[in-house]
Amino acid sequence: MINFSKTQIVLIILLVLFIQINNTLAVSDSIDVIQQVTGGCNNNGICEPEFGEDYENCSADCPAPQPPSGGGAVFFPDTTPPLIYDLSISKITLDSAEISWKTNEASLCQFFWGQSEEYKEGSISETTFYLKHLTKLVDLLPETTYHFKIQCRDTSQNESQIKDQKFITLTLPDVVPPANVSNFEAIPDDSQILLNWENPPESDFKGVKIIRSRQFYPTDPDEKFVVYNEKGSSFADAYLENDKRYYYTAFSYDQSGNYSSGAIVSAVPFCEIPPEMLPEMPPELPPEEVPLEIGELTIEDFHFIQNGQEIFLKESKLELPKEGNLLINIPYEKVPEVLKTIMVTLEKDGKFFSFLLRINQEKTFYEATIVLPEPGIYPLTLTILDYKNQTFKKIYGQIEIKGEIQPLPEPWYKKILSQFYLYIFFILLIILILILIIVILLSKKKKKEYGPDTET
Amino acid sequence: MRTFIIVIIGFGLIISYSVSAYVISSENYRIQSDSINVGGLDDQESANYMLKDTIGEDSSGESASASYNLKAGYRQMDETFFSISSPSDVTMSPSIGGVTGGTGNGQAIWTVTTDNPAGYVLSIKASTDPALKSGSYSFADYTPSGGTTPDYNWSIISADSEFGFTPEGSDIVQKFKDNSSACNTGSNDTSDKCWYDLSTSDEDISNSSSANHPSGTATTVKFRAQSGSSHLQAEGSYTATVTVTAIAN
Repeated sequence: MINFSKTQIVLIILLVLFIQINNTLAVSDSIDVIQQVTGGCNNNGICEPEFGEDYENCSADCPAPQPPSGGGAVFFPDTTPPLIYDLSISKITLDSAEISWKTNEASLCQFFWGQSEEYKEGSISETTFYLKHLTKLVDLLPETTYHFKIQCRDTSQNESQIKDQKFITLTLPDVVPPANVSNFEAIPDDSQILLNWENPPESDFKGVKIIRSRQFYPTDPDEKFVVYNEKGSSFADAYLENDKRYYYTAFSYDQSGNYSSGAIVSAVPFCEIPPEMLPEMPPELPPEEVPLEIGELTIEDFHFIQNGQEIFLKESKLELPKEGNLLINIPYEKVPEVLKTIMVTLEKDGKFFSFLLRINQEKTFYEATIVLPEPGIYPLTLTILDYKNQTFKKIYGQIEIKGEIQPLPEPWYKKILSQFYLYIFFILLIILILILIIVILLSKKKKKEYGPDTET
Repeated sequence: MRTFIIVIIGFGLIISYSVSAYVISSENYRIQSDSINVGGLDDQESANYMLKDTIGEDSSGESASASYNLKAGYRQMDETFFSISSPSDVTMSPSIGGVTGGTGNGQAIWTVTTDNPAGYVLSIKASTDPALKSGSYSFADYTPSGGTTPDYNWSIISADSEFGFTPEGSDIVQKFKDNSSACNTGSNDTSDKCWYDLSTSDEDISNSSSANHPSGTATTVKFRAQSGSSHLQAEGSYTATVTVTAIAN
């Protein structure tokens, strides 16, 4: 038996349990990666030996070696700059343009352009000497003025330039319809209906086309029975049959032929004794079967956009400023094909003002743009109708338009009353003055009659 | 006390005769080998020499058969095989027109072989900044648009000339892997994707946490130089001296 000291015991334990092999090995290898770059002639009028240019392979850039002095032909250096002429700007589109020009001698030109006369947007440099020059600018902005200048240099390094040239790219086509007419109302009378409305504020507003129907609100501005097509704000539709309901849709349109989604109204002309007023809202006959997609629709599925910003609902209530039209839309895929009409109705002073939501050109949304009424709180109803004009669903909400509430105009009787009181006041004032004058005159007369006696 | 020593030694014997690639491990560490002996030291050194010794070990020494060599003993276990292949210099092709521009490509394959159970890490660097130079002229180091993330597709502006690389192989690090549309994500090693710049600092390109002896693992490094169509590159022979280093984990 071997006897271990305490130190040996500790060493054995450490060696057995805790020795760890420590490898710190590394190997390396190096190689050279080689890339050959060959020379050439870039025809820029400058002799650049570092790019491999010499008279042999690039005579345009590198002049011939000068003959030794003291003999040979006399050398006349070219000191005349090239002439730039026949400048032409063509094929201007929304985002591109072509510019061509000529020079009277082979020249190397640079083209600079930008939205100001600093020409900061970019430059194009030719790499070969030409007599005819052409460049195409792309990725430009529509309806934007571009300035440009051209610098040309001949093979003798003489330079000339033209500057302060400009062109304007084409304007994007206007595809935005105007807002609907507002306050569209129908006042029935004997064999006629008086229509009143307010035109939208758009600067390119051109007119209002009103289409009439006996069945339901016209949804297409190209439908028949156009009763009005001008830019006024009222129209009396006459020679109508009493006790029958007439449906009207007013489509406002702009100079580019874009039509609004349509403001709608209906009325029943009557003879002397007005019939019981039929509701202006669409009939609420229960449809046989409400599609699941429509049954699940809520006001949250609609978007409310003002000045490009979406306004979000707070507990079915929309708060927004007066400034700017309101775009209401719902994605096309949210509603099934069987759907015929979506209406939005604002209630104002006991009257209902309704608008249609129409599919946009891209078929992405049903939408309507409306001019907001004066500040106040307006109940909002979104009505979804099927192809038989039966109401599938009604969704209720509220619009609060913020801003200073305009005072109501003073009623006529108050004006008369206030004027009456004014008259009375003036009459009383005149009577008072007359009484005062009479009293003064009487007192003077009395003094004359009794004056001497009183003194004696 | 003696009973305790016997228990410890017995425990050590059981560990040392294990047939595993390591004798004991925790979550983070492995002890590759141990032995029963009576002494020795690992930290003996003078100005010129270092000495590690073990004494009292049984059955140590070298023996051989037709097919095998055996180096028995604790110290002889402390030898890890580690090698890297040495490929030839790379001449990228085709030549690039200094005026017209163009693209040159080339590649080198390094195979790292090790029996180190913790594997290796392979890194690459250039000797100069920028890497590809010819006298005072140079190609700029490649500029990945994502900063420190390689570009999935090679792309330079037409008014510039740049030089870059991409590694390929089964051990490449995550930075150079892709998901078929972006780098440093996914697990693909799509060919000719994930381009990066060479710098004078080591950039890890491959990593393995296990031995690969005797076959080794190849890492292909592809190089690319491009001069844009509106860039003028002075003619000449441009060279980048590239060094790869494999270090045992």
